[in-house]
Amino acid sequence: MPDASPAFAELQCLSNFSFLIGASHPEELVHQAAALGYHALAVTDECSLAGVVRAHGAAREAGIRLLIGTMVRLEDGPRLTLLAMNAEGYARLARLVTRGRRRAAKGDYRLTRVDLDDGLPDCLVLLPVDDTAAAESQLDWARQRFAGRLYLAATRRLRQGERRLFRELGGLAERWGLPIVASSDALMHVPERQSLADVLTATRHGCTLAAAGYRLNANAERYLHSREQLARRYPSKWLEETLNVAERCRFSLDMLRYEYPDDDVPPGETAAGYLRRLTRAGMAERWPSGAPARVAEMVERELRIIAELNYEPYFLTVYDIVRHARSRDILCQGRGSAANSAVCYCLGITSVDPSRMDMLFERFVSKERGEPPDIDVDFEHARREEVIQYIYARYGRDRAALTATLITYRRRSAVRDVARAFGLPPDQIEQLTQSLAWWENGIPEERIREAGMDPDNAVVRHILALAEALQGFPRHLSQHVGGFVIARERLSSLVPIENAAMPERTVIQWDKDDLDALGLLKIDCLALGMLSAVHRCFDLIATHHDRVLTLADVPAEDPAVYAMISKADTVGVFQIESRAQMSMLPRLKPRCFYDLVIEVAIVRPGPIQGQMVHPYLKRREGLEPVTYPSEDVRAVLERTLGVPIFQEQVIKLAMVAAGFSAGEADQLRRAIGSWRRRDTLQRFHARLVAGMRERGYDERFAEQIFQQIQGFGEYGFPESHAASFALLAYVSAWLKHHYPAAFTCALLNSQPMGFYAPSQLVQDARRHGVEVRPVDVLVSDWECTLESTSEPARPSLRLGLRMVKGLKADAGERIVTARHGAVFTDMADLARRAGLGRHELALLASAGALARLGGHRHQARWEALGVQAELPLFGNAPSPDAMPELPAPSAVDDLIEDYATTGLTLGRHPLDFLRPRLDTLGCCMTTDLRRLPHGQRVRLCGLVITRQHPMSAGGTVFITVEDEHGTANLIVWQSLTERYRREVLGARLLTVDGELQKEGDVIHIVARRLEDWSPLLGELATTSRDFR
Amino acid sequence: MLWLSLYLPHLPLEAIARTLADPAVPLVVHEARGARRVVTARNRVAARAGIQPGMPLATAQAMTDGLRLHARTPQAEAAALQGLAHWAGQYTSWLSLADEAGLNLEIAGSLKLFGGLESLRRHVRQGIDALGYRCRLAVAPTAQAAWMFARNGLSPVLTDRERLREELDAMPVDCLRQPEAATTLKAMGLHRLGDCRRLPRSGLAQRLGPHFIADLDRLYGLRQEPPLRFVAAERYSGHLVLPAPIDQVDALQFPLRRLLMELEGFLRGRGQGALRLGLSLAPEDGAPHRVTLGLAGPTRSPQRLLALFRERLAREPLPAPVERLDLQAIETAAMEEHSQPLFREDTPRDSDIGMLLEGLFARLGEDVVHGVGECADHRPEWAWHFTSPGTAAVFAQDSQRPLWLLPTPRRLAQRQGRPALDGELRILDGPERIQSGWWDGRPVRRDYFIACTAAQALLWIFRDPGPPPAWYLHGFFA
Repeated sequence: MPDASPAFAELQCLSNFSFLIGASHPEELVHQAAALGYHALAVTDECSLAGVVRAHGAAREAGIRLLIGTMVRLEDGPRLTLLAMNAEGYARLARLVTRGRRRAAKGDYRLTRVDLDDGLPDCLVLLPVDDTAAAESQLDWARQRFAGRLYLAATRRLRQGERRLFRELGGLAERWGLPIVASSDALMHVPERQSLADVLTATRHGCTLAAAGYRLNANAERYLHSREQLARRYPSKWLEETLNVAERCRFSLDMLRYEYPDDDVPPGETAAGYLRRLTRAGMAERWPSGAPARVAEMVERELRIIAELNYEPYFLTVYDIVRHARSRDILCQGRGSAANSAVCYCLGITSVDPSRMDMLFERFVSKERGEPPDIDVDFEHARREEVIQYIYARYGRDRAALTATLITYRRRSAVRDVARAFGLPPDQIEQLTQSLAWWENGIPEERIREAGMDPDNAVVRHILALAEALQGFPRHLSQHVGGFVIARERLSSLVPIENAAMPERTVIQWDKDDLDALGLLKIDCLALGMLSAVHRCFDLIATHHDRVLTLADVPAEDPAVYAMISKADTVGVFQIESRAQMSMLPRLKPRCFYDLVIEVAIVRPGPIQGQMVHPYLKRREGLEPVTYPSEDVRAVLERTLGVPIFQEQVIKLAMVAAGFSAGEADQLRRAIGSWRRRDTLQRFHARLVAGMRERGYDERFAEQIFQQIQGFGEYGFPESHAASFALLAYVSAWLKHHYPAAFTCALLNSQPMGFYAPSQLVQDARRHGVEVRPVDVLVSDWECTLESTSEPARPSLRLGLRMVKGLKADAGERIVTARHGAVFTDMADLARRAGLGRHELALLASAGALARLGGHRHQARWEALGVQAELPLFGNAPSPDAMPELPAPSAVDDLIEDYATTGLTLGRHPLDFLRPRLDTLGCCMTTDLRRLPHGQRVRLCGLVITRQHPMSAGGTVFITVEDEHGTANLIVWQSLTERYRREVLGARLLTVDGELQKEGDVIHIVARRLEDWSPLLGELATTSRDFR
Repeated sequence: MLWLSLYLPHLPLEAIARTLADPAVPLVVHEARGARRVVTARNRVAARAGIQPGMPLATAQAMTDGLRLHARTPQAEAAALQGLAHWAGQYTSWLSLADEAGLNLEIAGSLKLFGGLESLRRHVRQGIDALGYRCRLAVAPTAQAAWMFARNGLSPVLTDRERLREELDAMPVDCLRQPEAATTLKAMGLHRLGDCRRLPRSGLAQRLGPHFIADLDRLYGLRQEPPLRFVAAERYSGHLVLPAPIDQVDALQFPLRRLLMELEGFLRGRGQGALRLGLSLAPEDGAPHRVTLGLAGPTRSPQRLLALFRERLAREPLPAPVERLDLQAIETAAMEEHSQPLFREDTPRDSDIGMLLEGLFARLGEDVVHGVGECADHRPEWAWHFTSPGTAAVFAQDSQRPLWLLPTPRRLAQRQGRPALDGELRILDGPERIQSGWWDGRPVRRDYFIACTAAQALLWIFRDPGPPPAWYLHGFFA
């Protein structure tokens, strides 16, 4: 259709990255502008460039020009919209935003006229005029500063007196010789977003909609108008002028040049030469008698690829960080696409021996795909902060900053804020949001009724609809857990840096998707509890078994370890301890390292959704023939028996079988990685299926591959990560098998971490023959320790004072220090020398840690309480009162106190006490499950240890319960979760009636009915950990 | 000494609801706990619906239709207890308010007068019932023990120390309401008061503090420390706040009777009868309606006084629904006691019926003066409200608004789609678009214009986009 409407470029537009102001996503604005046939669109969020990368991506898709800018309110001046004309102008904007943000608290900024004293060359400046007199008072200053680059912006807001304003504006522009541009000053892409904009306004001001009054917009005019509308509203001259502005702004984010830091290269040497030298040295260290030829070749090939892509500085930067960690004896392990290379092994970035598995570097880093290399490094969680501070010190805050994490509205927070804007009382809001269980999509009507509201009520309907729209809106920028961006030059010329909530932390305004989209280098320095535990375990083994170990020299491929893993005897083992993993292990029966790599990836929710677990298992067990639709596909899938398991395989398949170009495959990878863009996956569907059919694959296979790709959506697990995790899984399994006492001890000292609470870890250790000794003030250290026994190879585990809930570390340390001098003679002696107060003594008495000083808990407490009065006295005055006869606590009393004070018991299991009662109620025990037949109806009662509700499993919830003999796994289908909501969410002692499901060694109970028997426990304080 | 303690477990409810004749309405009393409101007490109907004390209010609301809600009013509870103490003056001159929701009465001296302990207890219980309370009664040789039993929901009658000791020994350590001490004791395996008494006193004092030992001693009577006496007012004065306003004289009888019974107890304790009573009936806001009742001779019979008030009130309609009753004994005189003051009373005496003083009826109300203020709302209809005089109006919006706004916009005639009033209108300014108020069910979408009539009158008109589109007149500029 020939279009008579005038051409137009919108130059002022706030997205929802102007938090709680803008009511549309940047993508929505860009696509709407394109749909309306705009010549260009400027995204100008308030003192922020946080949304520009998303807008940039959308603009590329939609084929519209994007201008980059920002709107700022000067404290002593007007509001201005600043647009970058070129790369230099962009850098100035980024630095200006950085300056404004860095001097204010998180989320705020402060800029004054002085900050614009340099006139902001290479930028255009728009002065919005809503009041000619006010504007005129600014013009002297503005015209001087921004000569030749200043525009007046006129917006039809449909307010009173606008006819006059527009008349006056024409005169003003003439007097000052300034051009006028028309602008909708948009904050939403369509007028329908006005209600959401109102809610955001109320939320921003912390008031209700009714109280927001004139802070709300009077009408819904701040949207992207059609060009016909614009033609009616503005003189054509003003519309034309927008095109001139767009013409003068030639900047695109594609022009950003990012360079890796090169600090580490010694003078006189090239990066390539230096990397080669380091790699050679590392290789000589790893293989003192010479590396196998295969490895040497691999290294050469990798170095060649690295050189072609100019990635040397990246590898050297990671190397520097890892080297620093190692010099401080901080255990670390790299993972990610480039981490499991022979080069990284030589550099010590990873401990996965490349000769141990067949992993081609090209699979992870390839020239044709052009994606940036990705190395994440996991550090001991207790010591990662040291690494972070090192990076800041090494590169400076100018050049290194943390990546942002975009915090977005989730269902609960969205409902909460919208309901608040409607003025619902806090308790009702609380109830409404509290009742949203994890598995629910949308809010069922019963929940609304429970919260005392009528689901048909207009207000309730408004709230739900708006909460739905608000979901996914950005709320604020937070700091990423450890993703660093390091640049060769000033980082703030690239992207604004702002303050994080944590003191001494700064974050850039982009998150990892943004960095990825622009090809910026990011190094993730992550914290991993298991590394702390492994380090501790190595130390214990060195002390007690006189054996020095590192990650790399834990003996590989130990059949006994694989036998243990295959029995799902993996409590405490990294990654493969979860119940989903445990139910897979006896089927998969890992026999070698690569099996573990598959195991780690296969149980992620992705592949379950993609219907892949079973085909792989069937093929592995020989129940299904291993076939390949073509030789090309065989090359991609052979290592996983024809079933795609890793993200890399799916990408490769798209290229090999559907003819995707490297660039398209990379887009597909991004689409997979980010859940927000899940819809975009659908766009690849036709392309993929058609491509595969063209190449002679049948439609079923094509559809199956697409389904699998979708399945990866949220949890796609790359092989490169799986390999690193598999190494830690193997190492921890090896430690568990050979040194169970040391392993448990290390896990306990690294809490909180992992899947199981201390109680389960201790139970498991005892089942494996480890003697566990109670907390004892006469021998326990703060940490748990090993104590020698008559059998030197089998030390026992002594619980540390850290297990006593509520006891502060410094009190614990005082006890240990005081004990060094001499053994405590009595309670008074302990109290005096360790400087313990009544409260601390009482804690120790409750935990049973005073047993050897003060007798049973009742007596210990009597004594502990009596000590206080003597504290001020000098010397050791004898206790004046004799110990009265106090009744000894019963076994149940002890049990309750054990749980209450240390979270675990070394005495009888709680279910043991209840057993006679449970017998009469017809409950079987976990040990019975093994011999009962498949399909048998059973009733079982146990303490809830974990609840899981994987996103991929729909509303199905997995529950693990424990009785005195072991654990059992329950499956609660979605149809039941709603009916037994209370039991599923709240029961501590749960009884299930259900059907036994057996498949080889894998046993589940499929629940039919659940009952909460928690009252039976009385005050027994058990702990359950909820996992998402 | 012998003490009778009475504890009112449902006082938060009764302070509000005992004046309700109709108990069929589910009712809860609630209070704030942190950020949420929870149920403090509920009546029987509400309890049958499953509402429990401690429950979040929102939950209770969701469980029952037509639930009546009242915020807990500590003042009303205190006033109710005060009134009860006045009433209880008939049993003893030595009584004290317990630390919460209860009374302690020393009754050793009154047993004879009331025909023995059993008869006295019965009399107290019936009286309390008639006043609209439910209570626990406990009798023990120490006030502290009697109160402790009653407070814990027990009603033993213990007249000698030996029995008292036995009963106390068997009580759990929680009964003292010293949670910290109780926890400590239980943590040492000591679960009953008797367990504590077997331990060395000094050791116990050292560990639990002197207060605990002192409390224990007071319970057992090892330390004599009678509670503080309640000092009654010189003249009776009681009031009741009605949970819902009453506009029928008949319906007032029920609460009024309860006040008159309190008055009876008060007067009996002093051997007096009323000569002149003042009753004030206050509406929710505005001036109270006052009635004074004069009596020929001292009287305290509730039935009698109620009949007189009824007659007096029936003469004219209530000016406004009543929310609060205040009863005052303006003048009293000694009444000769007959030998059995207990079950007598209602024989009609001489001819004081009809001998009524005209009460003063003063209508204090003045015409309420309203100011005009602006309320921040884009919608013109909601942008105005009445304020109390002297409140500064905030005009946040800089737009021009007409001084006179029509209560409802008036539809304008159209000529060729243009608005007309006394001829064609000339548009001076506009459109000013107002599109707001979607959240409260009164959304507005209008384009306002300032228009001028042929006669040079300035109008505020708007166009409603419809469909079908229409023009309206909304106001006049001065």
